[in-house]
Amino acid sequence: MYRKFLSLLKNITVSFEKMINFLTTQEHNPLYFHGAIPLYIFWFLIFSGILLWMYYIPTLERAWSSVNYISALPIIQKGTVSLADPASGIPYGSIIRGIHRYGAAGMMIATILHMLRVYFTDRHRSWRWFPWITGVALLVLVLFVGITGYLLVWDNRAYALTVWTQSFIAAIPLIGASLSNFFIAGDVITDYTLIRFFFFHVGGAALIFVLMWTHFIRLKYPVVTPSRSTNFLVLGFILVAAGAIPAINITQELIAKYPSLSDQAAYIASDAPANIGSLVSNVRYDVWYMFPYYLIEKLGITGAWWVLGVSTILLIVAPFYPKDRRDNIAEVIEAKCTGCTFCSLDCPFEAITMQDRAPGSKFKLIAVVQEARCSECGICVGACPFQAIELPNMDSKAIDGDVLALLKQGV
Amino acid sequence: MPTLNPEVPPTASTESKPKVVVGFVCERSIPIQEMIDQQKALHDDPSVKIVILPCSGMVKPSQMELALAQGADATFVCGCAMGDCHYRTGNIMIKERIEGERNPKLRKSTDRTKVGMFFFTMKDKRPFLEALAKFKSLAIKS
Amino acid sequence: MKARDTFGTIFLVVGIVLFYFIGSTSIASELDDILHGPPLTEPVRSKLSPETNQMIDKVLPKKVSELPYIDQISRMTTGEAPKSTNDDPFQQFNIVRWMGWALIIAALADIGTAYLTRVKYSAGE
Repeated sequence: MYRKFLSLLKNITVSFEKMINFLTTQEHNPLYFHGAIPLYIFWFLIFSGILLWMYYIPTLERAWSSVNYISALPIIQKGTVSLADPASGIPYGSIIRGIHRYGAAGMMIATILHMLRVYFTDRHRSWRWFPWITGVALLVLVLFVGITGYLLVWDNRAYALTVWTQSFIAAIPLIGASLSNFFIAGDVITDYTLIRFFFFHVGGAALIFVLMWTHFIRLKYPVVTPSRSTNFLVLGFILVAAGAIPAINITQELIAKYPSLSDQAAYIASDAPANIGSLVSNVRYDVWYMFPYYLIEKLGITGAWWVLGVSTILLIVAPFYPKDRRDNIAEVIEAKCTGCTFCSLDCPFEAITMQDRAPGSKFKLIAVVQEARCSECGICVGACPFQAIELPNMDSKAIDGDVLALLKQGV
Repeated sequence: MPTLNPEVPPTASTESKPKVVVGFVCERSIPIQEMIDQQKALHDDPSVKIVILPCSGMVKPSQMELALAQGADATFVCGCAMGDCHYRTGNIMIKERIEGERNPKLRKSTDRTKVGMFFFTMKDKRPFLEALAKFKSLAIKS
Repeated sequence: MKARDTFGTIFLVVGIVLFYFIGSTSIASELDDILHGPPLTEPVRSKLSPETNQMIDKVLPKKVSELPYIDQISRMTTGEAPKSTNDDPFQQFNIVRWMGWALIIAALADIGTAYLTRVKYSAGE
């Protein structure tokens, strides 16, 4: 029943991609790079993030004004730019901030689409559980790093989200209160809070790198760069967003000064500096990125915990059901193996390692299959010139026999 | 076209021998199970015989050479679309083996005009049959 | 292969020309000093005779704001007083948007080349 459902999802996905393939050809289909696109965007986030890092000041008093300094208008300034002059700002700063802001949004969308496609094409189960589980961890981490990025701006929205997050964490039984204090580095919000958020954001980004490594480690030749046309498309959309929705701090004074600024822009851009103690009522944020807060708003804290908790548990157990038979694991025939390493080089899931043979053997190395990682695909069989590795249910001699029988048949 | 010795009886001419094509098809690329009959021949073209494998990367170039040596007029492999192999790299592996860029390689002496490669998704039954027909017309000169 | 190289070259050249055009007009429209300040060629032009200056003016006006096509590219010179985008800073985001669209067009050109040079299957010759 569930297998039929997965098969239906795969059908829908392939039908959709067939249409895209027709227009773009297989080499340029952006959907075939669903895993590489988040990593590609991540490079821009690192680059723009480092530039923003240079000027961000993580204290309650100066966080908002430092972000304002970075994203000051006009983009290109007359005269000198100096920290001492509050009217000046970093040239092109709001563009860098825009790339960072909309790149993060793009990375979240791309990560979710990647997860959906892997699930829809049934490539998360059985021997593939490790990339999937590390992927779930990466999704949570990308969400966490993105949320802390929002909080760093320390405007009204950031303050509201911080208060909600405190209540959210404090709802955990037993350890909730101390975890919440750990989150804001103290009992109340102080300068240390922003420094803590800053560490979560930058340290979390570094942790994304480490988790990416674990995500790739069981995949040989991982595709980490999309095709050139996809690269241009992704960067193009990020720049269009950065240019169409200026990533600046929008205050009432700014709206009064530039009537062309609509209130709509404030939905996405940041607003006035935070006022500790006063929560604004109408907090607006990207729902598809900040979906935990949407859940908190609609369902309350307990409801949100239930939904997030159950979804995470379902994601974690997804690779283990339904179980496959696993009766066709590749077997090495010791007597024939020469240690040529062709099978080990070709195995897409790093399931074959070359190990030393006993001293005095005719050959130095022997291939060893790690059964838990074997996908029963037979690529190693295709790589072996000596028929020394076989799938038990379909060995090379049987296939040769089939070929001869087919030819004998005639038309 | 070599001229036949007029003293040789006409039944020895190669023109009357039926053309056979042997294809190695991955079960996750085109919907091959519904395209073949009991004798593993294609419904749409009974001269094409199919060997079904879990992945196109399981094909050894020596098996394709065996097919050609034992009487097949052409041989091909069909795998998943490039970029969408179910086992990630199977179609790339067989492509590189046939093109001579990956060990074990298809021997240089093998006639490349008789060796075909197709990479299609499970919704590409018609495009596969069209590509196969084109390949046959180019590979088999009769 | 050859068809792809020719198409690729054409698209690359067109892309470079587009980028240069967009980039140079963006820069020209953003540099306040060029529009309102003394022209860059001032040291040379001041030494030439008035007749020579008049002749050159027909081809290359002294001020960028007097270029024949500048009104179409930059809205700063329209209206009573030429405005710098420093006065309306949201105009400056146009450059970024244009660059984004230029990249998207380049991507579509790349895909278009691949589509036009795809291997076509048709039974029979």
